Amino acid sequence: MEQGAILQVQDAVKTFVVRRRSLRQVRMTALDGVSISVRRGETVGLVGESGSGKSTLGRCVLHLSKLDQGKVIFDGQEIHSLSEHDFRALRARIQMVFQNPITSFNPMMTIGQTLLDAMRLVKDMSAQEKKQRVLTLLDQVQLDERFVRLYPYEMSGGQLQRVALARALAPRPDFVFLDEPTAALDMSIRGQIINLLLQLQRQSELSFVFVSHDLRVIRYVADRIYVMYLGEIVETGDKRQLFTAPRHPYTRSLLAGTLIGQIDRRKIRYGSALSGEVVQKEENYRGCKLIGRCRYALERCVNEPQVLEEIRPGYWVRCW
Amino acid sequence: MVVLLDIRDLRLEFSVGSETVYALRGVDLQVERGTRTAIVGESGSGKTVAALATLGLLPPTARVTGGQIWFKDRNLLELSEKELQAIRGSQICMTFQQAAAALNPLYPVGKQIADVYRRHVGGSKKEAWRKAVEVLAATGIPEPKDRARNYPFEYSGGMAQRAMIAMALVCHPQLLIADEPTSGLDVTIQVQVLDLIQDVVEQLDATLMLISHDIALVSSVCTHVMVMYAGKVMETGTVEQVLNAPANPYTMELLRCFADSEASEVPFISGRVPDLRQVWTGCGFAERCPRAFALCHQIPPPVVEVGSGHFSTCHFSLPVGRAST
Repeated sequence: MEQGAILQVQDAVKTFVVRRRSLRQVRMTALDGVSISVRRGETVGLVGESGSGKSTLGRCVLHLSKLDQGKVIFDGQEIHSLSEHDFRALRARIQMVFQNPITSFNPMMTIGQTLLDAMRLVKDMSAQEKKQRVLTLLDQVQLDERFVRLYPYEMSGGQLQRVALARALAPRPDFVFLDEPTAALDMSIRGQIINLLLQLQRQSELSFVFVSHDLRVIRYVADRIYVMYLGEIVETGDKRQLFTAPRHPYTRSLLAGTLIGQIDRRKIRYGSALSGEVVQKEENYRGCKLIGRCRYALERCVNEPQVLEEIRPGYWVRCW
Repeated sequence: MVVLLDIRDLRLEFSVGSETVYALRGVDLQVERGTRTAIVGESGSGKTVAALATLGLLPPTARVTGGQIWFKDRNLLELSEKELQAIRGSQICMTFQQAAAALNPLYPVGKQIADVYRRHVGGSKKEAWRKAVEVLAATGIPEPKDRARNYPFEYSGGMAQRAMIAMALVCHPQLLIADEPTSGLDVTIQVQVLDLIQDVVEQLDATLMLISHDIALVSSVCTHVMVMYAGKVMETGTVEQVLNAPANPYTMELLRCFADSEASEVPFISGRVPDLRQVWTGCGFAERCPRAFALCHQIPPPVVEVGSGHFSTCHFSLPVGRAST
């Protein structure tokens, strides 16, 4: 057990059956031996394209999906093997903000009811205190009192995203898995929400996994970063090192795609982007999964398995 | 320079229940032929609505209450539905934000493109199908022959966006309006789609109007920028003028949010976007503006030419060259 870690995922494997053809099942590997750790009070950035397994990882940590193999250790305790009943005691401490704010709400409940419901498992607050907390939370995410009585359909995506944040923070968790929490927000208020998260983190030693495909956001919030591609960690380490000297071709192309967004036109580095789209590999394929998109690919990339290697203390890369 | 699209003092409102939302509050917007013009703004600023009004595709709750939309020598607002149909597709094309949702789920993608081709160009079914496969290939869809037979749900977001661009390609439009073509796509795919749009526009010798909330992203594609806020155009000019020497406080604040730094606090604009149900006499940004004085809340800001072809809607527009605050 790593010192000071609030959450550790060890060798997580998860496959889904995507098609059944008579007796043969076609499986897709969403997580292919993923290990991550989050220290107390730390924000870990999780980056990768759609289909890389980021959300699946979150769902498995939250007990919303079962891993095929692997462990989830929260505050020193293995939690993935717990029964649903035993896990309930931890629900308040482990929270998640879902990617799609609109479908993650009960359409029959007002925002006030939703936030109160999120505190149902909290025992040390009176009903009055909980009601007061609903207003405080709404204020923190910059929504005024009248939202208490509104239903989800009456609100915009950006507003719901902020309610989703308030809901996750309501039971005063130790750890929050944030799945694209700012994707639905406009640039001018995005900063307000992120600053709020960082401020709460300083006050109460909150830990976050922050999933985003927007590296500009990750750059602000994360202490360490994991880069995922098709269910594998391909590069991980300290934010500064990863941004200044990325090693893996995939990380480099992600960064190049982000630099496109830089206002200084001289910095645009178009050419290094990957070609094509994500292509799923067969279940027993062991070579590098970036094959077909990577222009540095060698013959041995297909035939030999790649391992995640520590090239500097705390800095790991899965590439020769 | 020839102005291809000229929107003058466009005013538009939506009826929502018993309330009225004033979405466009006198929008002036010129797109010159041969340029790649970006319309930038946050949600609710009116950028998509202005484009939909141009194509006559407004929802029934919307009502144009004033202004003109000139395309070449015709005011599109005065045309009949039939006349508009002749322009839509063949002269002005639009690609939509959620490409997969904008395609008809019940027909194969190839058939939808072929139908568009037959409607605007003519020819036999066979010929149209061949054309559809050809443009799918031209937009970089792998195995276009098989892919043409697929339905939209079998396409990824990036491919659906390509298919929409392919549809525009068969029509040879003079003006291509791309509404948030990269939002919701992965970073590596975003780069590919932007490249494709640039190629297509060049190939067709068309004019591009790119709608995006990402001011930084458009800087790599476009020649001109218009910044919108709460139903008004705040600043227009070339990309160099607006991004390197912004004159309008809103543009400056927005650019600050995009600036790349390692500061511990993320930059943002304090306050909230105004409630579009309200009517105000002064500047829509005054409540959040660091430079606002009493008069900003009362008197509508003038449009000031701060440099050649560079306009800013503000009482306190900074002349070019002194925009380093």
